[in-house]
Amino acid sequence: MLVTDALAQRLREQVNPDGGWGYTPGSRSRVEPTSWALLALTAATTQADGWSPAPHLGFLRRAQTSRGLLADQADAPPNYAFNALAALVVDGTYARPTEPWFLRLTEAIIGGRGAALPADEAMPQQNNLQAWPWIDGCFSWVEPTAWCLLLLKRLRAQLPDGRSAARIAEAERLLFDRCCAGGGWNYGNATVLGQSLEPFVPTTALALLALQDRKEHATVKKSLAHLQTNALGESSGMALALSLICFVQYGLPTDTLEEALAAQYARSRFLDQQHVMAMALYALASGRAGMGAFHV
Amino acid sequence: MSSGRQSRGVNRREFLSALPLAAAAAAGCRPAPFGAGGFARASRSPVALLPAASYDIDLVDVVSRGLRMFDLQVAGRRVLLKPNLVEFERGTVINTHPAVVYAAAAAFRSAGASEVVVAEGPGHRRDTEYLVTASGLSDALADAGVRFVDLNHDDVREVALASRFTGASRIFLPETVLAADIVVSMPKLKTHHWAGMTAGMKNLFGVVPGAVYGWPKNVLHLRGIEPSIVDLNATVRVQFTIVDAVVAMEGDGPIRGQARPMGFLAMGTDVVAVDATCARIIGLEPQKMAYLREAGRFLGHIADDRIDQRGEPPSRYRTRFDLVPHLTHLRA
Repeated sequence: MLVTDALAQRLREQVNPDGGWGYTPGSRSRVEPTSWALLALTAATTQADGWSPAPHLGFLRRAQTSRGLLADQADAPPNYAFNALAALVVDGTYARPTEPWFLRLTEAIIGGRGAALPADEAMPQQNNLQAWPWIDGCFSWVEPTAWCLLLLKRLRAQLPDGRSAARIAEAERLLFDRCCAGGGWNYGNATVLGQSLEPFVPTTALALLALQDRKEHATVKKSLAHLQTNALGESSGMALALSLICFVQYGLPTDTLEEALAAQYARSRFLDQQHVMAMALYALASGRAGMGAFHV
Repeated sequence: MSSGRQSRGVNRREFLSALPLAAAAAAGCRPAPFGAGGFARASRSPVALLPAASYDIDLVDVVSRGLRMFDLQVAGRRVLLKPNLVEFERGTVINTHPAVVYAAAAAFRSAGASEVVVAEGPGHRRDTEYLVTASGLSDALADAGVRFVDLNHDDVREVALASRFTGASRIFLPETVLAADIVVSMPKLKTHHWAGMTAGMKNLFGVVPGAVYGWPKNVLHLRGIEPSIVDLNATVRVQFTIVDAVVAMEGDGPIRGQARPMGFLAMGTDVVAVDATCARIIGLEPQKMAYLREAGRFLGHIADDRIDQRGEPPSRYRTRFDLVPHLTHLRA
């Protein structure tokens, strides 16, 4: 059986009765794994398979709070990274939806903003830059900023220019500011107490995904070179799948990554992490088609 | 955690300045940030130091002998081993060594645990598959025949915090942690460039779910690292602690410090007493560490004369760890 068929079958078997997926088989449905699974199965499945996105979209719609953001469960703080991912999936998969729930979701994401903090000599970075936090009230970090920035770039044609342009510019400044010395990104601190910290493959791939329209920027060039050198160095489904998705947007060859990703699944089954299975399925099943959901 | 200064809530200085208020609270002037009735503790706490010259010795025997020094009922109970798995950089000593995790799993199973799981929620990286594999933990888990639970992505439940040093009242915690009968904190002994030292108490940051709060777990820094350590330990009660001090870390811990061979495992049923003992061994004064001092008021003991040392005497290992300059005031 092909890896893509095996992953699609696993995901279809593990969907919860509410239409969502949990992070592992049998766990409660959450926004992030449901978004990835919806995206992946849309890419990997044809209507002839009898698969319909409706119940899974329904789960995401029912996760919406009165503020417009999606939450994993009642009273849980909505997570900007996963909200932006969900919006990208809905937008990219179902061609510019105009339903009120989707418009309220994107409005709420655009309205989110990380906290500004005073300068701190222990961390020589611009703490006044405000992009996106993981949850309200917190500082801006690389992963939520990358997802929200990518969403804004996808939606900017529909947004009043002054509003989206300013948020995009500040989010890009933040990503450039947090880039590690040799290129690439970790969670969001490049230097602490005079020591340079190391970048991670998955966060580097996500930041580059959000900066795919800035290919000529020196930070992007340096970081892409770093990823090309190190993408195979962190052997995990997440690192390989996100690198593959990133490489497609930059027009780079992906054969080696595809082979490594399939081999990694054979080795580890991605520790049964369903969001990672779905990332891998999307990366492997839709690479040739350009991965429209994440294309700017 | 290097992101610790991204804090605008209760920082170290504010926490320290609040301590006179806590003392006043103890005198009945205002409500204490904890309800004394919920925190029964023995009058004295045993702490054991067991020699372990390297990770190649029979650590199962060391941990088993350590367990027998304590009155801990293991038979028929679900045990959650919570190692310190923060980051992976080849050649460094950031994480609890897999051999210690394996030994603890085998020892608790031999002691009759109905189930042993290893669980952690890394604070910087969300790519758990990479961390578990690269660190060598996955091989140890396979050898021990125990499963790993990624606490960052586990199902969660909101619970009331049992103390209010952060000012927060509730927190989401992983179901696997809440369902465990015995939570075993298994840190690597390290200096910590914001908190002073990371051992059994600080190790509980890893139970806070990243899929709810993000990476890093910034909400803990916003509320203040030290108050968060106390609130977490008041809420998730650690029943046993095993500190990996076979090779510890000094200097700019918890990530960028240097290896420091120490040659022992520290164990105990009172995580506060274990941490206070470790602090003294590496040349820190527990009373100067705000989270230990506050925890010593209601969670456990930090006073030397309340701790019964078992196994090797602390004097055998006592030394002075290198510290980053802004932490030298914590020295004994």
